[in-house]
Amino acid sequence: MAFVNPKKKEVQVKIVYYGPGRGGKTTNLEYIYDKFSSRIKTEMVTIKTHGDRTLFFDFLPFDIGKVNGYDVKIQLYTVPGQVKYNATRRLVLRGVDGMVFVADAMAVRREKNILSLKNLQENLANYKRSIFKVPMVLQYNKVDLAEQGIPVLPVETLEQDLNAKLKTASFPASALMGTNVVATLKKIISLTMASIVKDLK
Amino acid sequence: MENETNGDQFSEEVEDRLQNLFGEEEPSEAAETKSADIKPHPLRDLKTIILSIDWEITDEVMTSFVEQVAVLQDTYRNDKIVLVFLQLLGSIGEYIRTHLGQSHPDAFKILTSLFSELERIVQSEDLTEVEKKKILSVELGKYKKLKNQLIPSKAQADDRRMAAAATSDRSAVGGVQPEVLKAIEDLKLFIQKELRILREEIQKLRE
Repeated sequence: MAFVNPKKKEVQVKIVYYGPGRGGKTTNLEYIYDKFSSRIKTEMVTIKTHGDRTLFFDFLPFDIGKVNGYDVKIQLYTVPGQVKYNATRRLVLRGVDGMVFVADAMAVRREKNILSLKNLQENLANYKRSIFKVPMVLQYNKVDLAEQGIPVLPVETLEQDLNAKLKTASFPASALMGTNVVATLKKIISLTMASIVKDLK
Repeated sequence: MENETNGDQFSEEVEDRLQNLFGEEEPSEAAETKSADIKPHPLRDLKTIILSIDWEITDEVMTSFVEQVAVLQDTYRNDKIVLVFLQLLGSIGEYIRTHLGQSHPDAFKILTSLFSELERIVQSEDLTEVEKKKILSVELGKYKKLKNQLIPSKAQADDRRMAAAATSDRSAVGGVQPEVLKAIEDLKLFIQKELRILREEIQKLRE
């Protein structure tokens, strides 16, 4: 549940980027930070180690300005994708308001995407949250690799695997090149803000 | 917040804020053009393998990696700079394959860095030989730094093994088992060989 401070007229919104290891979650945040750092005017905190992999999480906070007289503060988080860091993933999910699931479109990653989404469902259930009720956007990352001859899953297959039941917004993307990174972010912020307002009514 | 909120008006306001923050510079069009310009990738198979190396680095993936590097060494046998890159990649790949999860934390980082620069050199038509050599020199520096970090740790590990062997088998000649001495000797020769190859390659490049 978003943190709303009526006295200070401030809302804090927590959005978590989730998905399998090496799928591009950190790259999404890095792209946003690199491209818009002059506008968002905050620092990205990232803890990388052991071969440049996210060991704990990345954190990128920024303000989007006033909405209905409230200062809206967005906090973007990533989780470590590697299977063994489930405790950290679960911790980062605490109090999440919106999710971006970054799937890896490479054909060899098909099973890992499905397992990671299942893991997300379990971890949300741990906080008594339903994956079907948390605002979510799916991003099918690395689709550009197809142009280099690397086998990539068709969007239809990814939709069938991951979005058949969720039926939420999805974007084919290339986090490295920035394709649909901003579109994904804008969509999840809109969906999350609408959900927060709905919950407050 | 709820009392002041009206559905459509609220959505518009959010959209407006997001447009202010992330508008104009939306790069999808440029990015699409950029990706459409990419030529067929000569290192495609190696890149696929590198992208497949997950956190749990497996023997199978690393073996494919080493094999693919060998294939490329044959393909690029007439290109000295690319060949050195491939030798370095092969060496680190072999090290990771042997040590898997126990590999030095920087090994995978250097492997990806080496590949990324190799990819740049192979794909770019604008780079001069001097620029390519400079790139190689930087990567070589990183490789050597890692190598230097590995040598003391290997020596320390061998010291520990030697000490353990000395206490566990007092009947061995001089307190050290012959196989331990043989392993140390092998390691010494391996390091000397690696350094000699590198010195020769650097010398060739300087000429």
